[in-house]
Amino acid sequence: MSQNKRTNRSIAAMFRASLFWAIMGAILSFAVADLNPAYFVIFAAGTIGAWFGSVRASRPAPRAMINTVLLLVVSIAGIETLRSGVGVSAFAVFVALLLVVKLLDLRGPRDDGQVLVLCLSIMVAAVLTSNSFLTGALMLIESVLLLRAFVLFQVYSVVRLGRTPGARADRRTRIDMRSMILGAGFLCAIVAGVIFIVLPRNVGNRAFGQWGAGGSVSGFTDQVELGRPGRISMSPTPVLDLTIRDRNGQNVGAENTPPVYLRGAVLEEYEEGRWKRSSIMSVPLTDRIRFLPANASLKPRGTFDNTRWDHEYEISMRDVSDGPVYLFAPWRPVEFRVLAQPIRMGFDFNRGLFLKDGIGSTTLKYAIRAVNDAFRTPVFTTESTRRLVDQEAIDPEIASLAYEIVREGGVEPDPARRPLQQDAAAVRLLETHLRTHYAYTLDEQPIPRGEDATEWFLFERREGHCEYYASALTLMCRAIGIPARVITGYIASDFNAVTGQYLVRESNAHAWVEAEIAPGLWRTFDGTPPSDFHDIHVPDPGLMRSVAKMYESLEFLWGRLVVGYDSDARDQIMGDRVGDFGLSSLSDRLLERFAAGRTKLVSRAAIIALIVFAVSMFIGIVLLRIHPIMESVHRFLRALFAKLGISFGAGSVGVSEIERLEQVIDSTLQRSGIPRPAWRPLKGHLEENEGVLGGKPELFASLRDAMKLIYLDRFSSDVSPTAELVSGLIDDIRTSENTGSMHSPNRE
Amino acid sequence: MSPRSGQPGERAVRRESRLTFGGLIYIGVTVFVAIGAVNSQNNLLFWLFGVAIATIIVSGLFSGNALMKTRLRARVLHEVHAGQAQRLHYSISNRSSVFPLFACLISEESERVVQHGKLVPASVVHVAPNGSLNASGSFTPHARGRYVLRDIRLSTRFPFGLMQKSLVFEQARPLLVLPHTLHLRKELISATPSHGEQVLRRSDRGGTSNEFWGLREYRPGDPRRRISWKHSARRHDLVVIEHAESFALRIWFVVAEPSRIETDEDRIHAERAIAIAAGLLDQAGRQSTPVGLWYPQRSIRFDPSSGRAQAGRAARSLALIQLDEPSEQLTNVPVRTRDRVVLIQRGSRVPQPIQASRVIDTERPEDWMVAPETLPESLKGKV
Repeated sequence: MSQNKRTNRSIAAMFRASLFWAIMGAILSFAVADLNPAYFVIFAAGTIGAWFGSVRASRPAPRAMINTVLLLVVSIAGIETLRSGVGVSAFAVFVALLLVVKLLDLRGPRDDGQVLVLCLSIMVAAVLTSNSFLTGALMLIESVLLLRAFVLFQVYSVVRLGRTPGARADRRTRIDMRSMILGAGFLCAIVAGVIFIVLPRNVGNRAFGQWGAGGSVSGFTDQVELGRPGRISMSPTPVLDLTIRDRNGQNVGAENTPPVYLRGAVLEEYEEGRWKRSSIMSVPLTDRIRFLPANASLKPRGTFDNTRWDHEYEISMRDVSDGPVYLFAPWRPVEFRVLAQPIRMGFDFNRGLFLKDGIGSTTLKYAIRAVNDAFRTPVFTTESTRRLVDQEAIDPEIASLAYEIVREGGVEPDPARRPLQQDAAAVRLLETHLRTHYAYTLDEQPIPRGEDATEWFLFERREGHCEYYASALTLMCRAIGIPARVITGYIASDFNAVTGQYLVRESNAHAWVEAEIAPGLWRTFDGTPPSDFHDIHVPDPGLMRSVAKMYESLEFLWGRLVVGYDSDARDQIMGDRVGDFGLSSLSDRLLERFAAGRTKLVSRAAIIALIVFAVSMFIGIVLLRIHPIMESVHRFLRALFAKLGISFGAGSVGVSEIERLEQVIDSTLQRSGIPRPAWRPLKGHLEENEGVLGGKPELFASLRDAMKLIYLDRFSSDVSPTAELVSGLIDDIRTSENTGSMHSPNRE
Repeated sequence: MSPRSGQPGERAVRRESRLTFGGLIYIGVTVFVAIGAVNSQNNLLFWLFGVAIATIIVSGLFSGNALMKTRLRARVLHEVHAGQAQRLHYSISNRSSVFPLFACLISEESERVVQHGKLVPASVVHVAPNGSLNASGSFTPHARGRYVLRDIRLSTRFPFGLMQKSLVFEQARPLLVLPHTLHLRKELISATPSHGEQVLRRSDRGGTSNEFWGLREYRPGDPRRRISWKHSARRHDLVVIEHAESFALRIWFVVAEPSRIETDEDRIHAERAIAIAAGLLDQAGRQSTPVGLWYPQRSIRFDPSSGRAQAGRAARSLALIQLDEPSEQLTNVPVRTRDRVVLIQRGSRVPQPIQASRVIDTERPEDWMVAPETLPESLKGKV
């Protein structure tokens, strides 16, 4: 009995514990999804406070207090909604607040159920907030926690309704419950996986408009406003995945190679520290907006040789919002290809600009083929002329600095006298000067009133971030008569050898320069000191970085297999193109038998689902019975070892052995024609039926001995029967059962 | 019949499934998630939708399979007084060798049980595969009478509470609910004149007793064996011995109800009278006081007798009274000399032709209850 008390656990306590962890899991999931640790700190503190102050003490707060706090929460939510509109994040915060309040008001099973539903709501909100790998992993963990909590909630509700609040779960109950949760979880995962794979995609996209704030690419901006703080993002949130292949389809990415520049916006107009798009630039983009179906290609007309591309850049942008979004591309693109999903977009191949318009998707995949102008030798003819630049618009101080730098480098600064072939060298001199004489910093300082931001950077502060360098280099290039423009986008330098992809994060947002070093030949220059920039933006290699890379590999797989699962992937799985463990061919054969005619996707999907379901059911049942099976194996092995004479010592007998002894007694009684009703105590039943067993006194004696041992084990903490003793008694029972009738006359 | 096949009635006569309120909300949320997934093409929402559907399937699968091979047997019920809890014992066995049975409630379905009593269902946390278990709930009837508990519902919402699956078993178990046990004042019996006291009187029947009463002259017709020859010789005249016999004074409880029970108030007072009568009989039975019950309107007559068996028999008769049936004429109690009559009725005026030495007025609980505030709710009414 004392052993039972020690091992049996209160169902109420088990449920409460599972509820607590489900709540904490939901809060953590949302905080991670929203990238806001403050949420976790605040709500976890509130939960723990309410838990120990009210729930564990079974002391719900007074109704008046609950109503007051509830009113406060609703008011805060209302004000927040009016202020910033309805959003998933605000909704989740409101629900989390409600949850904490509800914890102060737990009065019955109904309240417990409401808390669980609130947890579920927070989890859904977390999923809507982010689809990162970490959110997904936490969602899976939270699903298991919620599953357990829901299962225990049902048991707890029954206990409460049956007015047996002190009910306890013994070891067998807990084992069965664990098996049940395991089996149910496994089945749910399999069925959910099948449904996930089979459900069609690209149907009904944005049929009900945009829900929630939607994702957005951040860290990048198509306007450079020097001196304005808060524009530089250090967030490690992934923005896009990039795979680079050569013409043979080989992946050409590598670690520790020069970064890949992915262009977003082209900024050509400068005014008082601000760079913005040329007004004429928007026209061709918006004019050329068109709908591109999946797998459609765009190619420039006229001036480009589309066949001579060097690399193909496959880009997968994550969290793409509705409305205009820059599609990042390398310079110089010669072909744009939409991959899985159709999009509506505008483009300008001359400037290398691509703009998605209209509704988007969570992820957007496209491929760009580009020529690498960096390794292409400019071709000059006698008719080649430099494009005119408005040098007068450049500040004289900046112009004189540019002239001085170029002249010191041995190149003629005056464009009228400088040959075209020396333009590239002139720009390189300016680039080198900025890289060597200026420092990189992310510390933003206010620009003195009345001063030009670029001039202040060049002559006074002499340190700044990429936008200052890009602005300064562009203006200096223009000062010496070379057309130049500021480009904003991302640099891809973080290559993952496992996935073969570059991972571009918000912190990789960058600004650089393109200068026209020959007619029509724009080349990339970057005045930002590369070492400083890398120190800040690219993490150091080391153990943590290796771990981070492993995580990124998982994140890649997550993104590829789950987040990026689309109709293409679905067709591949459901079709014959990739191996599906032979299920497709099996379903085809079955279909041929059952329905003549062409194989239909839905029918095939149904058959695959059925097969997978049956297999998973089998595995689920095996999981469900894993403990009894293991026990049977254990018993068999023990019996085998006992026969072989191998002893493992006579330790204290376990609960299962005593149960086994009781089972043996019951089965013996049943065979003897006196089955014991479940509610009747063993002792009473044996004594009552002594007469029936009169012909087998040895059997009766063995059964009585076994019964005594069971009672001793149950009601005396001092007695610890050994396994040998139990086995001996079982042997006695069996022997006397088989031979009792023959022996009894002799005894008499 | 093999041991595994079970007794008749152990198998469910029908199975039922219904969507719970929580399940309804869950389906609503699932539809919402589906719309969200389709609308946003968010694969995590697709996954969540898959999980939601899978949960519904698994829920139905697990609960259905666990119930498939469940057997239940209810134990025979004993008598109980109204207002007292009757334990309902059940034996459940799970014949499935794979699926354990979890979180079940066993409740009674009979209409009368639901309407006229408070039922606490039996809860079953777990029955292992091939295992069995005893569970007990309780039924507290509010009113006396004959009940038949027939339909037993074993239901579960396990594992997720989305569906409620039930098995209905038919096992008729009669239950006789005796009238309420009221905590009556002891003086109701002790204050009744000559209550149960043992007195001696001259025996008319002669000399069976050892107690000597006296001598008298012989009268013609006296049995000759009563002649005391010794005394006759001394007195020179025939004398006979007279013996004394023990004589217990008896109490009759007479219950009188209105000629027609028309209102709820009438019914409540009739019930009170029945409960008081049962209580007094029980009290007298415990004191070994010879009491009788005279309820002419319901054809109930128990001649005075002592002992608890008498009280039990009377209580059973009182339990079976149907107040809806027409009552008979009120007639006088067949009293003997020195019998006392206690009338239990509404009001203090003794109706004809009853001759009562004391009246217990059902309208005045303070006169007959130790703590009037403990009067059961079903006997309180709007009085």
